[in-house]
Amino acid sequence: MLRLQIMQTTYFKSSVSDGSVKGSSDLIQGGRGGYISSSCKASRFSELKTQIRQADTARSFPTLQLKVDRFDIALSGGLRFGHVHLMTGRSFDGAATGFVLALLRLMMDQDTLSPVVWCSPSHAGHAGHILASALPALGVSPSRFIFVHDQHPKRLMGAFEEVLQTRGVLAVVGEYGLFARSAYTWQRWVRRTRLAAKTGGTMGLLLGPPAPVSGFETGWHITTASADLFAKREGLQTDWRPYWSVQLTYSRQGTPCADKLVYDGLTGRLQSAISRSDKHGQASQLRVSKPALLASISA
Amino acid sequence: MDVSGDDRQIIYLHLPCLPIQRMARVQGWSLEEKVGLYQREKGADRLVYLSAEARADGVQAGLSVADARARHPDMRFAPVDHNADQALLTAFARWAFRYSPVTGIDADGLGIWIEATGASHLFAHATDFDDTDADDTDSGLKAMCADLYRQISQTGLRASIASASTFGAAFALAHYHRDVSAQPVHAPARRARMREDLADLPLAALRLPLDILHVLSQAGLRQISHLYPLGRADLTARFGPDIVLRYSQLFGDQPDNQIPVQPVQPVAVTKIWAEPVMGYEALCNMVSQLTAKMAERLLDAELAARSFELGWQRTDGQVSCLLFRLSRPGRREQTLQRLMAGAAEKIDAEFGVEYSWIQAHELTVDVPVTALLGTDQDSLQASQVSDMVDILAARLGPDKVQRVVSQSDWHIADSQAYQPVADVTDKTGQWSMPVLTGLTSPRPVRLLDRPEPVKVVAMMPDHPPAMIRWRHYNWTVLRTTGPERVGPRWWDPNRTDRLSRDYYRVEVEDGRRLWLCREGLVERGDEVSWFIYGLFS
Repeated sequence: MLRLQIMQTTYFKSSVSDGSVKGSSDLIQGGRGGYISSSCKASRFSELKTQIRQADTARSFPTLQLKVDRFDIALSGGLRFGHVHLMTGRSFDGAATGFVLALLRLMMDQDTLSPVVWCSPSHAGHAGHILASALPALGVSPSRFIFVHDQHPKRLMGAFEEVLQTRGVLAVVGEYGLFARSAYTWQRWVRRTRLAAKTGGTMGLLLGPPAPVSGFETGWHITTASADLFAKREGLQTDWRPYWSVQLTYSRQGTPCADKLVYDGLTGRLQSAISRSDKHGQASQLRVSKPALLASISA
Repeated sequence: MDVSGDDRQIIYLHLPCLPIQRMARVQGWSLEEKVGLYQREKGADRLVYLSAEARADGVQAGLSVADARARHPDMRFAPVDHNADQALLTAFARWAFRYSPVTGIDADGLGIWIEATGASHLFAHATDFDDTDADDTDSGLKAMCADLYRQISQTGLRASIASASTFGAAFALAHYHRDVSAQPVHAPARRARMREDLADLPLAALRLPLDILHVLSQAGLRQISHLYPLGRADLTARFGPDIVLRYSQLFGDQPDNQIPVQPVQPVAVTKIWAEPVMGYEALCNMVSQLTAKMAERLLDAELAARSFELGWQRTDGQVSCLLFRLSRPGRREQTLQRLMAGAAEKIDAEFGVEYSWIQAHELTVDVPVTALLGTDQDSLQASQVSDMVDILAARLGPDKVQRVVSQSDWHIADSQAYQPVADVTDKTGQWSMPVLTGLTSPRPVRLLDRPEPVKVVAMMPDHPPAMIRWRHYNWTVLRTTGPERVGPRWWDPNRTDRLSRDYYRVEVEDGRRLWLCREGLVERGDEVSWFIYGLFS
């Protein structure tokens, strides 16, 4: 950032020394050889950003509100359909899966007919596979799911892309596993899924270990939070409701955000735990964790 | 074929507004508009078919188009296309194969007939039809007519349906019975009662030429009942043999031969290539051309197919083929192309393919009736998920696209089973959802493929774990629930697990929630071992 500022300063000085600086409006329209002051540049950038945003929202897709104010504001309204969202988690942790299922529950409450497609490897090894009998406890009916199993990651991700193009599917979840290892393959594939999602208007949720988030609409990192502190404060030692530390590490239309959420499977509600336990702004002290940030920056 | 006889059951479907409604759909006109179809007669364009709106405004058939345009400037006109109307009727007749294998069209009368003899009983229990008059007509026939009426009504077409023991009687009732526009009319099988039902119908119901009808009208004969007291010899002498023939056919005294439509032959598309086709792109192009041609052929034939065979012959004479299957009959080009999108990768062309083909198997006319009118967009939209399942099944294999069903088994791994998705709308294998008052055993959202052994420290051998060591993790357990004891299948000699298991849900210091099990009972003196089996959310 510092280097960028120095470069900008140098650039501005050299433009002044050339003696070709005129009015800012003239500079913007000056074309080849014209110089732009930093203030003009900022306004031009904001104008371009507005144009890009308008182009992006030219085909408007509905959004899924999480009904957690902090995240809905950070997402500028909610998770957008017609886009792919990256959900990452740590190994030997079912939090990311639980959070994805909570999102599916929110979708299923709004659309009671369309199926959900879940693409996962045939043999997941120590990562485990979805246990259908656990889903009703989260308020999700397994009969709404169509499972696509294939051991070959490319074929599986091809199926994910195919489903994304299909109208009439509520959402498609893809477990990419080690597919993100090859940066070149990953980036190419991410670009294709983005186009596919816009074609079908379906929401794509990619589930797996931390991966480059570039090209996705949003990037999330979800881990289980220790419920001990929360349970002691609430006096609920027997409360086994899922309790997650949810970090919105990247949002193309919004801003990063983090919070701890409790999920109630019976009502399907996501609730901010910190806003309940500490109403004096402790939540604002939560920051995006370092590994998640690194993942997003490395993209 | 001979469709006369007292024991016959003939259904006649009259579509009086078919030309108008077809033209309105083709031109994009509203059915509320005044529309007239004309044809060249006596040196002038004269109106033949009129929309209800035009009739209500006093426009009559036979009026010249010039006069009609002068009186009603806002009226729309188009020439009659008899061939297109007949083609649509033929398509309807083929669609009606779902009711009977013998159907036909009556192009002059704008209707189709269905030989329901021997087929109607199949519909006796198909609908909740109240069979209160089983003495007169078969309940299956009524159910069949009701289903036909419902299916046609869904298309927005105005239809009249009648059934009788002869084609003539069914025609007469469908065209001229006063109640037929509201519901299907069924003529009684007994001749005496059929005479009563037909008595009030006009003589035009006998399908006589206009000049004979005019002469009959001048003689004061306007209804069928007026012919009852007259002798056939007198009628023949006065009005010619046609009236007696039609009158006899009305009651089945003379055969009434109608020609049924022929079922369409199996569809195949072949292509001989001038140059051997090789290379991925060329093979893709080859498949694409064949599928496009196949889709066009199926559309022309008004058919849909369930399975397709893509075959090819290489330059060395070797013949191979790939099979593709749809879960429901289809014929859209887009569907076929997506279904066979990966076919080019599987073709081993070697030195080139010189001859290729696609055969459509399991042909059916059982397509949505709305498809016949080109208004199938909604049903196509709804079927896209089915198409997607078919495409994935074709690409990955039918056992790779599955639905999970519940199984009644205490053992967690066996409590669910995957089945191939046969139908997307299939709701079998329903899962019971928890209620507020219900207590459910904790189940992890992710189950490991097989339980992995862990090292556990517990305060006592039969106590829950206090510390866990698994892979390179060392976890201190903060809290636990359990145990949930599941015994072995002692009655099954093939099972290898002979020990009971105690399942615990544990939460470790960093928040992870794990599903552990202790195999073996301490109180029995079993050798105890611990496993991790699942991950909670």
